[in-house]
Amino acid sequence: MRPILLSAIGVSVYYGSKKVVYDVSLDMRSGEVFALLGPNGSGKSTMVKAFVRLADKEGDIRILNLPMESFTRKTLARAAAYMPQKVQVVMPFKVMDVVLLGRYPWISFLGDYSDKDLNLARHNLDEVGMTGFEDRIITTLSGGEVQRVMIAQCLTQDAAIMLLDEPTSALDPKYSIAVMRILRNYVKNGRAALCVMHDVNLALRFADRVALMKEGSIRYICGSSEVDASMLSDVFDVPWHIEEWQGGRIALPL
Amino acid sequence: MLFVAVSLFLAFVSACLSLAVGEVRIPLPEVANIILGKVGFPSSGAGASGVYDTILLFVRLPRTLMVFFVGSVLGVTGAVYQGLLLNPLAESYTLGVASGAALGATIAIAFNVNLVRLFAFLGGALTLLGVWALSHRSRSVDPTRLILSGVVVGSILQALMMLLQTLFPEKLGAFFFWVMGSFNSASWRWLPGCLIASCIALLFLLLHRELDIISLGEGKAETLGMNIVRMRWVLLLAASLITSVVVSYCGVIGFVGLIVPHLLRMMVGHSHGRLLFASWMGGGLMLLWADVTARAIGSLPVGVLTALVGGPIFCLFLWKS
Repeated sequence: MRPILLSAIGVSVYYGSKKVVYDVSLDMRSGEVFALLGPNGSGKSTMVKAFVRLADKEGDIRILNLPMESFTRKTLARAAAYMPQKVQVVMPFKVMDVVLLGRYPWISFLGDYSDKDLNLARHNLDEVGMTGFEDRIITTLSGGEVQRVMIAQCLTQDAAIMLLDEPTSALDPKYSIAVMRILRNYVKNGRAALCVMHDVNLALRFADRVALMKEGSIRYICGSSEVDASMLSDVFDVPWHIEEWQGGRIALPL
Repeated sequence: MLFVAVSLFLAFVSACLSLAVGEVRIPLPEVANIILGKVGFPSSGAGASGVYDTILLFVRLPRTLMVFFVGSVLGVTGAVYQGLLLNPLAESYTLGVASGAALGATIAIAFNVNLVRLFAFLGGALTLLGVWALSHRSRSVDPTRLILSGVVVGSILQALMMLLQTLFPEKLGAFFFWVMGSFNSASWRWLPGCLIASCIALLFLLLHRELDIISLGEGKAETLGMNIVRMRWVLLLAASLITSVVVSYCGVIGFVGLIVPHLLRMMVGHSHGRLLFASWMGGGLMLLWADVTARAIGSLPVGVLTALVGGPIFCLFLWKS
């Protein structure tokens, strides 16, 4: 059995003073891509925020088998990288400078970026198809390009767990598939990735396991190959059909 | 490295001009002669004058150094406020800190308290605390709220200052110094305070990465391992305190903190690693040039010149951007 990298046991999460996630339990194992699906307002993003202490919660969260409370900000940042749903880049920094900020948890107060850091940043820019953009100003890039830069920053953080809130929302199909492939590659070295997603087909194709959330609680949690039309219909309140096609499955809302 | 070399060269040339220009013009060879003589090099002695010597060593040299240090503080704090509050209009005046310092000095002058500089410093520090208290909400501080609080508090403080000026018309001359900013009282006595403030401004370079991260938003900053609430507080407090220190020596000098970082971003980019040092050097140089010009055209308050020159430059910048 692969080790559990992140676990939530009976976790409820608050958005401000309002409880929006109720009594959720899940775990993520090493080598696993985990997709969190559900309609708007079902509590997916708030749930993920609780994993990086951006939302108040009740219940136990353990990261790398340690209670979340035992982590400092820096050690938590070394264990879990997070990309928010809305990426805010208001300063016209160079792309390379933004990606390198992912190394912040790893460098000392007076330290500077090493050659290893620079090579890692360049490698990750290449991974997301942004080679040649190093000196471009990030505020001049398209939404999709900014999203790829922020994914490169998360990869550069080099954490054991990656938590991405809708990482493909601004990407075209080519780069959506590319990002999911990057995540599959990322988890090969014993790491894990959790994606909040709206694209059910990407989740079915690339995730190992899927959790379906509705009204603040997890309704179903299973392997992606076990997701059926009735589960999707129940969670999204529209009928779904799943078709087998060329060894994979395609889900269609009807 | 090229930027540092060019900056040092400009600083040297500007310092020489500052030492030479004034009501009594001292020829540049005489300036070099006196300075070299004082630092141990053999001087020619030709044309050396006791008057020049006194003016240079007891008036111009402390003034030149003080102007540079004050300018460097205003330049760096402008860049810090703008990066911290994610607002291109932010500077020490936006948060009311400079107005608070000027009001503190005005109160001391009005009521004949012989602690003008201490009152100015306390005025700036207390203003920051008030603005922070007004804008603080639960775990975080909203930059927009902070700026709004600063603008409102600054307006109230300026109104109070005008009230005091109306109630004590016989002290208008002394009040004028604080409102317009001036280096006429510069002396070796005030230099250590300005030097320390300028050195603290340089220390902001150590936090350049933190300033970059703040611009990514609170959530991203926290998950990269930074305590953003504490960092904002540290940066604001340090920037406001050193602003209060320099305002307590030279009064309110506007536009340096606003213009310098903007102009330098066009040259060195937005990353704070390069911008903070450039603003330190650029702020010092800009204020030095303003002070030299003010003296050359007849002892104008330097704050008037920075506003007269800085305002149109900023308008040009806005028009071109």
